[in-house]
Amino acid sequence: MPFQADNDILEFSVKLGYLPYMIERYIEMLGENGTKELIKFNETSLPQTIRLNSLRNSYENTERALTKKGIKLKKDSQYLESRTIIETPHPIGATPEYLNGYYMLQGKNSIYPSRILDPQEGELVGDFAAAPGGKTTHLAQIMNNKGKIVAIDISANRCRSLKSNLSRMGVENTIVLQMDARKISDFHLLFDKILLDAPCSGSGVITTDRTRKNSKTIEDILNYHDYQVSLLYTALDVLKSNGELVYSTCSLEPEENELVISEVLKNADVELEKIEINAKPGIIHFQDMDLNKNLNKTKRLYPHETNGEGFFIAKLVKK
Amino acid sequence: MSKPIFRIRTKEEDYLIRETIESHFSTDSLGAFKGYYFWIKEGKIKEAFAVPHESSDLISKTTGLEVYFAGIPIGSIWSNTFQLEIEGAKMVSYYASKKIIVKTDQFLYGKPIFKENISKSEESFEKNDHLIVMSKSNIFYGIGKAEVSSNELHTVKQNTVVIKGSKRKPLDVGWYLREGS
Repeated sequence: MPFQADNDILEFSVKLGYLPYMIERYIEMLGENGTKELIKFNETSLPQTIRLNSLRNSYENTERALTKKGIKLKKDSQYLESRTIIETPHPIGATPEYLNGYYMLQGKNSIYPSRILDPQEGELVGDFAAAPGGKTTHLAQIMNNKGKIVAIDISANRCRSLKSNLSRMGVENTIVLQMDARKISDFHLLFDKILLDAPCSGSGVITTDRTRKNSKTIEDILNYHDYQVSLLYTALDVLKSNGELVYSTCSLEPEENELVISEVLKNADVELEKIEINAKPGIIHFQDMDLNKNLNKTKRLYPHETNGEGFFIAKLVKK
Repeated sequence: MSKPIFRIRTKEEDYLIRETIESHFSTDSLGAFKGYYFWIKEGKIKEAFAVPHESSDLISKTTGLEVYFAGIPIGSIWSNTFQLEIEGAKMVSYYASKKIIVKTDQFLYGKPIFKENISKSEESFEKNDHLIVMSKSNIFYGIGKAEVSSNELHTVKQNTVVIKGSKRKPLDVGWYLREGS
């Protein structure tokens, strides 16, 4: 259905399948024009993007091999490993280079959380909602396979795809645990850094899952909030003093983002660190709530503004 | 059904893994596993993993940790035999000299390799030897078993099957596409 700017936005969005509560809050966060842009963007397809994997081959060699196959790539990120596919005569997820782990199919914006965490060789790093492994394999790449990553996922099926991706990408410094990450404190491990790319309602990726327009009620969002808060408290509990934690979701809902961070800022000895990427700051006012002003150190990546998946990213330092 | 256990290999399993790799490839190929301990995930089958020393120490020292897997899956043990699998073969491929270079990617689809598809072999081999299969641009395709010796290779017809994959478990990287995730 073509987008008609003249239509009443709420009525039009409902026709496109959105639940009204979503549009109301998008208007509050983005204004009417921004909401129209978002909704319009959600009807398009995201460009295909890949992350080159230096654990398997140099960026130059992989790029050369793909170019030789007629695959046209473009650098359009601040990070060297990210490429957008401009044109490809082959299915990009079935080339011998893909099967050998020379690259990962990974959304343009999902490259940020691991880079913002910036794990170092030799550190003990936690990845507390790891499957299917896009970010875990990226952490290992940044660490040059040195040090240790404890990657946790609760689902057996998802752990199988995690195993497949870690193996294919040549990751060797990872210990995978299939368990509820909230029980990790039983093992008395203390992490230098933790990535918590939390399970979320996924409202930032409607371009790839159009059912999300109406599959989650506000009650669902609040349930995610509770789960995310409990995961975050556990993660902070097993983080070393001065340790760093990146919290991210692919949701646009404040309850899953700023309101999660806001809660731990009130109750835990942590502070937010400013994230230096080109994206909107987190919101500090939502509905009738005034939130912690430091939440403007977090980032919101809106799909229509970044030509990528919607993301929220916060970086916390434990005192 | 009880949960699989992830444990350090026994001395016998360590010997079996090393002896198999050495006999299929060469003593040099064991160099691929320097810096790793072998661990076993013991469930319905025994899966073998090469785990870097640092990760291995963490698992050993952490009481009660139920590990799903760690390190690199290298193969499996059953009926007292060890079979190298994709990632184990890939590790060995950097050290092994029994390699065969092919012109097409049909091996990635679980298909055999005919004489006409062979570009070159780097060393002589016997029937039933395990060979690393690579593309002309040096991309790892997998591991296969020779159906003829390198001497016979010169005399057989173009449509003769020279290399087959494993019957038990395909050992080509196409597995990731067919069943990987």
